[in-house]
Formats: sequence, structure tokens, C-alpha cells
Amino acid sequence: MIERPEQAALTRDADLSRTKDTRGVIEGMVDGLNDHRIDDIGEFFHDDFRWMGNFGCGTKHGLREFQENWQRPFQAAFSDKVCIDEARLFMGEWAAAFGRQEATHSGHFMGVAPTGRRVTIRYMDFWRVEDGKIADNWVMVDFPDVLRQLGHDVFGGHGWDRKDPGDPASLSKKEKE
Amino acid sequence: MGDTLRIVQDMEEALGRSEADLSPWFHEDFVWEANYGSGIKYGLDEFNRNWWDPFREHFGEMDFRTERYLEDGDWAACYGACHAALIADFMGVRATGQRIRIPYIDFWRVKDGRIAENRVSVDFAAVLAQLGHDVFDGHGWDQNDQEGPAPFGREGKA
Repeated sequence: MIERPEQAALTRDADLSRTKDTRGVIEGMVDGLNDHRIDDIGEFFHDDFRWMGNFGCGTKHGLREFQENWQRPFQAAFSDKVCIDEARLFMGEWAAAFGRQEATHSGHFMGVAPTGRRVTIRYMDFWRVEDGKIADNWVMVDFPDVLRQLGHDVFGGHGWDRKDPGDPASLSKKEKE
Repeated sequence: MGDTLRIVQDMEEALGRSEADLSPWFHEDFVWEANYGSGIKYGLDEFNRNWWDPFREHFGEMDFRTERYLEDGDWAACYGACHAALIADFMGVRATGQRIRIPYIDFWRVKDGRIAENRVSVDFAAVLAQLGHDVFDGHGWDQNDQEGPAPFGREGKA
């Protein structure tokens, strides 16, 4: 028999019979966020779930820290928020999505006084669902892009979107169109 | 594993061995769209010129440690971190060969056997934090978080 290398070690334990349940939890949770639920958002998250964000967003250990150190500051900085997943993937107990929140900058955000501007807050999420609730959540939220929309470049002109001066890649998709 | 993830993992192996021609894995006009600081690259040439070449110039001894892959139809996704040595000055910070980790999330859409779309988040702010520079100037939303293990995204052992 031909010996073949092991493939897809990182997905081999996926239990595909759980995909449907995972989908239900994630869809309900995103609706919950769009309904601005904070106090009862625990319907979708375990009390000791882990929310692991990119630099600037922090790491929230448990539901309470997520509510106090993520949801409430978010609500204080942004209003009229709508959350739109552009793609959602489900596989067993795992789900992933990327998309954007559209919101009004109506409170202090990272040192910038409220401008009243509509901003787009791009994000990517990975979730692991266990026993009907989210147990782990890996997140990247593009706060540097939000600050760019408010007129502040956190990379001080060193961003790799400006590798070639005059390169169309230095423009955002919207600006290019 | 279906075809989508097989194509993505083949492509990653090609990147790992610094394959010069990536056209077997990417459509010539694919779009690589990342978070602010990394940019948007239209097509394979721009991807090579404005992302993959500079990436290899800055980061040596690269070790891509993907923690999880996911596949659903013609989409695949993963998260992880690239562990590497900083070998060229990065965003204004002097390189001294420091070991750093570069967290990432990737989404790919495969069409007719090749990647048509790659949506990416690369945490360059985390890289700068590991080099001692806080791009948010103390305004990060991690101030009130407890200390604890941060398996992804924040400064950690490289």
C-alpha cells in the first residue's frame, strides 16, 4: 500500500453532525448584537468564554469582561450600529465570518472626540461552539481603518498599502471606483 | 477535506518553498483585500510586488503556524500566526533580528480550481507592539482586561 502524508490534521476532528447547531447559535448571536443586546447576550456565550482580539482590542476572559470591556465601550463610541456579515462559513463546531459594522462615531474613540461621521468597522471572526454556546472567539477588528476614516493614520505613513507611491493599491476600493 | 481547502493548502506549500510562479494557485486578476496598513492588491503582480516580496524582505526564518482551518463550499478560512525574525527595518522600527509573531486570519474563495479572492487581516499593530511601539498610544481597549494567556493577537512569546 502506498504511504500517503496525513492531510488536513487541523480539521480532522471536525464533527460535521454539529454544523447545523453551530449555524443556529451564530445566526442568533449576530441578530442579538444587531438588536443591541448586552445584558442577556449570555444566551449565546458561555460565562467563561474567551474573546481573543487583535492588538488594540484586547483579550476578554469571560462574559462579564466582554460586556464591560468590549460591548459597552463600543456602544459608548458608536451608535446606530448595524452588523453585516459578508461571508459565513460553518464546519462542525467551528464557524468563521467576515464583514462590517456601519455606525455613527458619536462618542470618544481612542482619543478622537465624536465627529458624527458614519464609519465602517471591518472585522473577521472565528468561533468554536460547545454545548449550544460560544466557547472561543478569535477576532480581528480593523480599528486602524476606523482611525483612518477619522483622519488619523496610526502607521504614520508606513503602511504597506503605500508601497508604491501612486500605485492604485494605495487607494481603498471605494476610492478607486 | 474538499477541493477548496486542498487548493489553499497546496498554495501555502508553494509559498513556503518560495515558488516564483504562483499562477497555478491564483487567478491572475484575483483580489487580495486586507486590513488598513496591509492594503488591497489587485492581481497576482501587485500581490507579489506589494505584499509577498516585501514580506520576504522583512521576515526571515518564517514559520507559519496555522491553528485552525475551516472549509465550507467554495470558501475556506484559517487563523494563526507567522513566527519569524525581523531582518529589515519595519514601519520605522530598526531591525535587529528580533523574533516576532504576526497574527493573521485569512478567507479564500476558490473558483474553477484557483483562488479568486483572498480576504485577510494581518496584525501589524501587534508586531509593532512587540517591537515596543504602541500605535494606539495607550488608547487600546485592553486597559481593563485581566492579565492572562493571550493565545492569539497580542504580544506573546515569538
